[in-house]
Amino acid sequence: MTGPERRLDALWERVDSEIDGAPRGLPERLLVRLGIPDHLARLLSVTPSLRLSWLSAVAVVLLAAAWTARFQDVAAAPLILLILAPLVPVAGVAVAYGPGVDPAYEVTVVAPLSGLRLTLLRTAAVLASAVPISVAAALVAGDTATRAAGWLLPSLALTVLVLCLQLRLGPVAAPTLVAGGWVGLVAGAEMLPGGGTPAAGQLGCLLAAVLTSGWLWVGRDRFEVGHGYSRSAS
Amino acid sequence: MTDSTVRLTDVIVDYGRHRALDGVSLAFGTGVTGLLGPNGAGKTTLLRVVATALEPSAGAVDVLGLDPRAPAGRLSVRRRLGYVPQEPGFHPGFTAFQFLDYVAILKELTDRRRRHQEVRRVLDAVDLMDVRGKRIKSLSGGMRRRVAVGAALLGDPDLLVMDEPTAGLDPEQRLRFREFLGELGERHTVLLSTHQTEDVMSLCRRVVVLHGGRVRFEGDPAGLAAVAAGNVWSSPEKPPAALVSWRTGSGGFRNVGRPPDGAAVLEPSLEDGYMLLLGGPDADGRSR
Repeated sequence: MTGPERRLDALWERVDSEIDGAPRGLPERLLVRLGIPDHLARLLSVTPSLRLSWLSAVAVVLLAAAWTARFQDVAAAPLILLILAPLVPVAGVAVAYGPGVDPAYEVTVVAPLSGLRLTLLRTAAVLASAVPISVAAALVAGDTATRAAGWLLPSLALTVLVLCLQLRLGPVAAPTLVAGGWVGLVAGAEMLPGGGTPAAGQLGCLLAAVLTSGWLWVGRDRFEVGHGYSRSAS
Repeated sequence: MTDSTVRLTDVIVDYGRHRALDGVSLAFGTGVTGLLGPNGAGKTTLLRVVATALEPSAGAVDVLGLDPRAPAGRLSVRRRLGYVPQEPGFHPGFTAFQFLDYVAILKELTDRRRRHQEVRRVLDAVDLMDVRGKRIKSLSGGMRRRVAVGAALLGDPDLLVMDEPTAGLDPEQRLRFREFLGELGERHTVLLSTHQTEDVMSLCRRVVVLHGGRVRFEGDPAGLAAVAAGNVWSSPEKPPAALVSWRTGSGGFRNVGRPPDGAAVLEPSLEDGYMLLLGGPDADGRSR
């Protein structure tokens, strides 16, 4: 967009706001400032896990865990961080879109821009906001940049797994099951002699990410129709 | 039947072990078609199937000449569809304008100026221009219902599916809404469910009565009233033989069922026909 076009756009923005009395909320304004097109910013602004309150809470929890891991003499602190960090996007995606989560779900699900397209759009936004917080927490905890980037694969694998399970199990059971499985897996690996190797863990997460992505693609049609209906409103 | 916008053939929908629609076949085209039936009759399920929100367990669905089971067909239908759910939900922080703008984006109107023009057109159509900047949570129930109707109208869809759109409207709003829907029905196909027989009588070209997941009647409103021809009578006392009786303003009773000899038979209304259909032996033998 050229300078004059940008100025014209900004002018229209002000005229629109004046006419409609509907100034953008803070999350939406921030997204537009980051270069997100205005229509995508509006779509993303309703995602609860992109609100400042959510992101602030996540940052406080993770950074506190990281601080404890680095500067306090708490033996379990690194393990807690290892468990928490990849679960942040899982929780964010679980409340991003779906039956029982999105109040306008029934209107949304029959819109042309819905289903897997909308789900992946919001998932990408959640990952884009949550992963940097996780990586920052890892750096605070004293990890190297390479090790900090190691959060990416577990985060991706767990997030896609939640997407696969969410429409079958619902917005509460799916992330609960995935979180429980992750906690069990990390705790089990810690009990192995030597605590398991990071390389083996990364390879396992890569394999899981590929498999769950394939599963998501095969079942993509399930995102295109409504879920959560029951006989109560038949 | 070749000009039908929507055609359902032997449609079955199961929720687990409960059968919500049981072999429904019907077709309708341009104009307003009313869907009547008691709670649990399958109205909402039928509307969800037509609106592509729900896939039937069995049977064939044709909407706007397309098959909504195929991804391309479903997307094409959704581009020409407006849907008002029974309990429309809203993002609480949005104003009326912002919510309609949000739905317009979901309807692929990405150009801001065009989109905002369309939102203003719809706000005007549902008479909400004055409150467009107010948060939806501060609006009355009737206004929220109109916001939901406005969302359905975005993009001027060919097919409108509305689940109890007149619920929560006061009498004046309901009259204006009927006038509005009547105009829409001249060019569009409108399918609406309602508990208000007056809505059907004043609006609908066709009426479908659902009960127990099955179609009990399909025809025009006069035909539904005619179902009760010769089976409506008045009496000073409540007769035990009547299927349905209610006290009228004059103090007597209006009765639907088989009239006794010498009874003062009345002209049937659409409501009488509906009551007779639901109160008859086909409706699980229950008397109302």
